[in-house]
Amino acid sequence: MKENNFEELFGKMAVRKKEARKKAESSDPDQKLIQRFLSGEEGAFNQLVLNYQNRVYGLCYQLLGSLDEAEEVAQEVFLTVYRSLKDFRGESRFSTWLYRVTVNHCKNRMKYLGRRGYYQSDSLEEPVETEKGEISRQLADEAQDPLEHLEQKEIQILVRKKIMDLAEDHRVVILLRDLEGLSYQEIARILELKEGTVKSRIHRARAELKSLLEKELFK
Amino acid sequence: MKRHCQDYQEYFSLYLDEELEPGMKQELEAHLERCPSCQQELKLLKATVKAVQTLPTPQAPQDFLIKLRRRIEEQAEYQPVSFWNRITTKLVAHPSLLAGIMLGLFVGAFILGRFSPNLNFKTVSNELEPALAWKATASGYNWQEISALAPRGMESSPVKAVSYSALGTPEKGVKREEFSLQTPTQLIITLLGQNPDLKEAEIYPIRQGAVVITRDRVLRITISDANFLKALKITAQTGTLPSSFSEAKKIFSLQVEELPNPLNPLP
Repeated sequence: MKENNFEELFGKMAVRKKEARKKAESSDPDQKLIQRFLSGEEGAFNQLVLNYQNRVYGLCYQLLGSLDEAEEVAQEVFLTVYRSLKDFRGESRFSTWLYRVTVNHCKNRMKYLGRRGYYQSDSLEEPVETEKGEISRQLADEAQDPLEHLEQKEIQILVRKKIMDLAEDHRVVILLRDLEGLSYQEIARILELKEGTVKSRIHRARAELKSLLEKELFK
Repeated sequence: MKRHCQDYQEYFSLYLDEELEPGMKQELEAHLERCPSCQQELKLLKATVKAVQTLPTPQAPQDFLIKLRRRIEEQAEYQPVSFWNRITTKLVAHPSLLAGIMLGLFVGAFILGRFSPNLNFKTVSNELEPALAWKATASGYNWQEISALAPRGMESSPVKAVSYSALGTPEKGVKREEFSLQTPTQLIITLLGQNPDLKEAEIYPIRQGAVVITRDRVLRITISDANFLKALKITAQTGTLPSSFSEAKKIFSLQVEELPNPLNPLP
């Protein structure tokens, strides 16, 4: 009797997993490219890289604070994806999985760099020219106020420094939420946490960053 | 129970993200109306969020994909090297073990050398499958295990090598993007595979291109990164590859060098 219940339960779980996979497949725009890659088409993988390289590279840069490190880690992320796509079961969206791989690679790299005292030195680099940077510069130019532009640049440097001062877990959630613009639910899936945990962690991270910035920015 | 300012402030993040349930939202807004210090706190938190949201994010370098494809190729080509690296690092750490192995190898080689088969370049290369031309729609990289020749009485050591999966012209109706993005090596091999004159030739992938061995000639064909990028743009625009190799040579500025042929030395 009991065994039957177990069987039933596992059966239901399997059905639910299958449904979840079907749902993810039908709603995941990357699924077609993945299928094409898995059937041997290298070009489809290239397309996936092109679709996501800026997001992965940008997140790596914001998490690690260095352009060189960002490039190295972003390359490793896509190498991992290349090797592991065959194991990707499609139970979540590809982008969720990609963000998870990226965050894990960055965390490993942060540990490695932390052991070498990397973050004690003032090793933050400023990105060269960027799309967003260009836009904000244009806006500053339009405002015809050179001081404003300088100030904005300075603020950005300060914000980035203070983000690097946050605890690793706080840095991750605040960037996923406010820079990547992901939903609480999506972040919970990426980090494999409960949504409630994500909510409170995001609030703590923002509050911590706010108090770090408060003294210098919002006098 | 009456809430204090600090209790309300716990909800600020959810409030800014519009994730607060309607009842709580109303209560919070009512509190904000009459509490200037909470208003100030909310303003600062909002400014913090905005500061992160507007941080400039760099774009991936232009050659990101090219570098990645090269690493994928390199990992496939040089996997055995990393295995040897591991062993040699271990041996360097233990000099006595290294010395023992060297002595053993020396004695072994001396004894076995008398019975070993004729191991020259040609016999070994004849054992290896020629790499066939790469085709975008086929199954991509294949691992192939090739047993290298070993002296009699010794175990042969398997070597992993990459073979390319298919030979020939790309199928008609192949979509644009399938040819728009390949590594320099893949591009050259695809071009070579299209050429009917090279049907019988052996094609070996190398960095930036390929070596072609025909009955009487050995050619090294390569393309620079800059020209490769141009080639990608051209194929993306036209949607097809040049119809012949000589045309491709002109359009893509391929470098073709004749190498000395060991089987047919030039006078």
